[in-house]
Amino acid sequence: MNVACLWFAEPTDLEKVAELLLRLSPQICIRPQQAIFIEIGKCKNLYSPLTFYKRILVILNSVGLQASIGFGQDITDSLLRAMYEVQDLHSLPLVTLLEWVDPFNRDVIIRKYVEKMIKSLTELGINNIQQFQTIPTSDLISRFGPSSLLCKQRVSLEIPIGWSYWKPVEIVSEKSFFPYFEFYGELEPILFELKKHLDSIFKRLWLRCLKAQKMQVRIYCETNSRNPEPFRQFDFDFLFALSETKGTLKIMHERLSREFTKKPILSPIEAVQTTVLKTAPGTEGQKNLLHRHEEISEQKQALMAQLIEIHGKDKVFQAELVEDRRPERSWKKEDERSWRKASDEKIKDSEFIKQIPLRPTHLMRPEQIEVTAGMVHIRKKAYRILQWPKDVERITGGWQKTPYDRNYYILELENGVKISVFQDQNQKFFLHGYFG
Amino acid sequence: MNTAEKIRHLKLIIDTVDVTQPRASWFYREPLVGEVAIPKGAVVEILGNRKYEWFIQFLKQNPEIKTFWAEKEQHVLPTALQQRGLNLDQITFGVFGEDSYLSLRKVIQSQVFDVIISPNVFKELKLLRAFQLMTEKSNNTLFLVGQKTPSNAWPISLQLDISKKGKGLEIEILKQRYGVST
Repeated sequence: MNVACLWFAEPTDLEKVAELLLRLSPQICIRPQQAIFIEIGKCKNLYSPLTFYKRILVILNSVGLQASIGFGQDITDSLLRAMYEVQDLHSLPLVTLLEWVDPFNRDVIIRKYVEKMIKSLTELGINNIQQFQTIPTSDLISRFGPSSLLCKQRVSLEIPIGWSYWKPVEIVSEKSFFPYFEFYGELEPILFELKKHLDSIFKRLWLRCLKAQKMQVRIYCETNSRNPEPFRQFDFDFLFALSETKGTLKIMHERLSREFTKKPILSPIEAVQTTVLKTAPGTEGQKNLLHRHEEISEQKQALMAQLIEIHGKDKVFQAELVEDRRPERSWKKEDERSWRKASDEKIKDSEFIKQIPLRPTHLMRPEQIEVTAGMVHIRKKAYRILQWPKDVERITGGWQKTPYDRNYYILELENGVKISVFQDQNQKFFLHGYFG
Repeated sequence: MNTAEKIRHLKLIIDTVDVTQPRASWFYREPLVGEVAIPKGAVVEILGNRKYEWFIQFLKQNPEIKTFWAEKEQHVLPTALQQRGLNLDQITFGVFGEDSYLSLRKVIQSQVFDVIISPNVFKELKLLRAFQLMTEKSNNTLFLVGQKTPSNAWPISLQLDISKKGKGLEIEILKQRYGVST
C-alpha cells in the first residue's frame, strides 16, 4: 500500500482540503475537483492504515465534506478502489480503461481514442478488464493503435504514472500589531502600517511578476469590550491590477476615511492585516529606459481607481462608439476589457461614423417642446427659428422590442444657439441636444 | 515708495516668475483670428456660445493632449467629439456632481492629463488660487467653462469669449497674463 486516494462524488474545490492533508504527507497531488492522492508509502510506521483512515475522516468532518477512500499500489490502483469500492479490479467494467490510462483526467486526445476502442470492444462482447487482458497485444495494436498498447501496459501495472506537481496556493499577507499605544479610529497609525504592508506586498508580488487585483484589509479591535464588531473587513476589487504603494494607499485611505466616518471604531485597535486575494500577471522583463509609458499608465490606472472609489464605477470612464443611429445609444462606456483593447480594434473612422450627420456636442434627456410657425417654445420661452432645415434625418427601429420612429431637425435660433430636436411618431417635438 | 515700486520690491523678495514673460504654451490657430497661445500650468476660463466647439478644435489641433473632461452631469456626446476629429482614447470623462474640488485636485496633481476641463462652479478665491498653484506645479492647463459673465478672480490667467462669426469662430481675449497671441 503506497497511495491513498480520496474520491469526491460531487465536484469540490480541493485546494483547501489538500492543504489540510499536508500534515499527513508532503507528497500530494490533485485530480481537479474530483480526487486527492496522498503518497503514504514513505511514512513507514508513522501511522497504520486504520489510524490514517480515522485521521482523514476527522479532517473531512472538520470541513464538512464526504469522500470515499481507497488504498492501492499506485495512483490508478487507489483511484479505482476509491471510485468503485471493490477489491478485485479485474472485474471492473471496460469503461475504467479511461481511468487506467489517464487518472488525472487531463489528456483529452488519448481519452478520445480510448473511448472509441471501448465502444468497439463492447460491441465485440468484451465488457470487463479481465476479458480485455486476454486479448493478444498484437491484435490490439493492429486494430486500435498505440493507445491500446498503453491501456494494456497500464492495466498490467507495467508503466507507472508520474505524480503531477501540486503546491498550495501562496497567500501574500502582512500583519502588524499595535501593542504599545491605544487608539480608536485615527487613520494615521493605520495608514502608516498599511504603507509598510503595501511596500512589502508589492515587492513580493513584483518578484513573482504579479500585480494585485483584489486585496483585503482586516482591522482587529480589542475583543474584551462590548464592541459588536470586533473585526472590520474592507475588500478592494481594483478596476486595474495595481503594483504601486502610492496609488493603492490613496484608494485605501479614501475607503477607510469614509467608512470610519460612517461607522466609527468603538474599541481600541489591536492589529491590522493586509492580504492579497487575487493577482493578475504583471510586466515581465527589464524596465524600458527610453520612456515612462508603464509608469504613466500605472499612475493613470491608480487615479481612475481612486476616482471610482469616490464617485462610483459609472462616473469615470472612457467612451467607445457603437453602431447605433440613435444619438443616446451611439456610444457606450468602455468596460474593463475595452480599456485594455488595442485602439485599432475600436470603431474609428468607420463608414458608419461618416454616414451619420453631425451630432450635437451636448445631449440631454428628451424634453418636450412646442414648435409653431417660425417659433420654438422651450420652457415657456419663445425663440425665433432663423432657418427651417431642408434635411431631415429619420431614425427608426426597435421593431422587436420598443419601436422608435424619429425625425431629427437641426434648428438655428435667433440668439445664435443651434439645437437638435426630433419629432416622434405622435408628431410631438422634443429637444434632444445643442451645439456649441 | 509708490504702489508699482512696492509691487516690484515684493516680487524681488518672494522671487516670483515674471508674469510678463511668455511661458510654455499650447497653440490654437484660427484663420480669421490668428494664433492664440494657451499657457501650460495655468487656469483658463472659456465663455461664449461656441466654447465647446472651440475647445474641440483646440484639441483637434493638438492631438497629443491627454484630456480629462469633468462634468456635473453627463451631457457631452462622445460621438460628436469623434465626428469632429478627436481620438476618444485621449479623453477620459468624469461625472463629479456638485462637489468636484477634491476629485479635480487629484486629477491635476496626478500629472497624467495635460488638459482638464471642468464647469466653473468655484466661487471661492482660495479654491481658484489652489488650482492655480497645482496647475503651475503639475504643468497642466485647467479650463473652467464659465457661465455668461466672466469671473473676476485673479488666479485665472486667460479668459476667452468664443462666439460664432460666419462659418468660423470669433475669439475675444478678455484677460491674458501669460503667452503671446497674434
